[in-house]
Amino acid sequence: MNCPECAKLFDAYLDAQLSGTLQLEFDAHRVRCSRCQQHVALLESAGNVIATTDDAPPIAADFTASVMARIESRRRRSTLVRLAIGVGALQAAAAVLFGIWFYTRPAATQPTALATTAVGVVGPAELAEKPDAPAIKELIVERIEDRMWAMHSAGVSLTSDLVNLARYLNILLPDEVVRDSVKMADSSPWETLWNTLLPAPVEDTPEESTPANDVYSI
Amino acid sequence: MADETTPVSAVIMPRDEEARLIARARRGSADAFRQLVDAYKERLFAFVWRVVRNHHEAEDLSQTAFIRAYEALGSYNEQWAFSTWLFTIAYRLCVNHVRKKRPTLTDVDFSRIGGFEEDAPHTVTGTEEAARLKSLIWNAVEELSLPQKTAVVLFYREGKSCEEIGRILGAPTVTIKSHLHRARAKLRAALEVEVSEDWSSLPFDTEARSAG
Repeated sequence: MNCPECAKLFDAYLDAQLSGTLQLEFDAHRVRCSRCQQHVALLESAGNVIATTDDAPPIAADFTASVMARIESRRRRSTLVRLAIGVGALQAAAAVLFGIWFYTRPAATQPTALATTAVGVVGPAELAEKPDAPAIKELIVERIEDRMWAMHSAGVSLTSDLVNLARYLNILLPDEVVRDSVKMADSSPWETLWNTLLPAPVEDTPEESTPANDVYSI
Repeated sequence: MADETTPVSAVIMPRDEEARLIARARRGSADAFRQLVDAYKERLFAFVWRVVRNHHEAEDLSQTAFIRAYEALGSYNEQWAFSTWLFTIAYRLCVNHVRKKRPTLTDVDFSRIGGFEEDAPHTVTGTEEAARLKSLIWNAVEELSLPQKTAVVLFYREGKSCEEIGRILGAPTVTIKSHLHRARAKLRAALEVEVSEDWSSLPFDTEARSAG
């Protein structure tokens, strides 16, 4: 092997992709060629320096807080926009319904007051008073997820109904949990959910059992 | 070689724990995403800083990358490492940022875009010789084109494979290998001038040697 041939193998050597006779020939040339030795050493040094230099300036202490604040700000703006669009659409629908009622009503009564009421039923104040359903759902899902992971960590097998419930709620479970879930044909998924939310009961005389045989009883 | 050194940016979070946080963040958990930000902010900032070479801009771009990641979590594919996806977002922001600073540039070398001289590498080493070597190497890295420099940083500092780097840069794996090959050739040429003892074999003239 000569120097140009050796140079063509520098990348493969640095990427640890040389093997067999090619590696042997490469090493044999390098041992007796100071120039190629130097080239490889330069590249290895460059790689080491690039990999290990820790000279970036310090990141701001409030970096994470700033990120989360910007996310929250954008989320609130997005919610207000969706709310405004939703309110506008509902008000428009209410106005259309009122218009249909007004022109098809049997006799003229108090159009001004009724129009105000129709719009007021779906006014922004009432919408704002409604509970934040997505947040409540998220809290429930998180509690279920924590309980399932605690059971898994304790070596308790989950029923296939619980696994299906996890899938439905988009809760991520390890593959081995899904594989090892035990089918409990008579269990009710809603009863399972309720029992999952309850704290684990404290038994006076815990029975001896191995983690592999523990099954969550319903 | 990325597998024989200990990159500064080593993986610090187990994969299953990361997957769980991502799943929770997808469902809207701010706390889960906050943990992801804390896990990756140092690495991402260091990478962006290496590209744009400006502290303030690097922080702003890094924050924007996390925000974009949060808003696009629904499109994240678990096939790829979260860091690969995050760095892809950050790289594209860096490219757009660099292009905005020099809007007339198309396929020109980006390594001289404004900002890279503002934050020079800090050399903190024991010996003068080691400090000089480090300075030479980083100066040579700064002379690389943006894709070459990005490929080098991701390969050596982040331990990314050529396939993952290709994902981040939006280029085929063979192109990334070409970037690394050219970058190494440039680094070797830059360092050869300083360390070679046989001046008659150098491809450079003596004026260049004196200037070094």
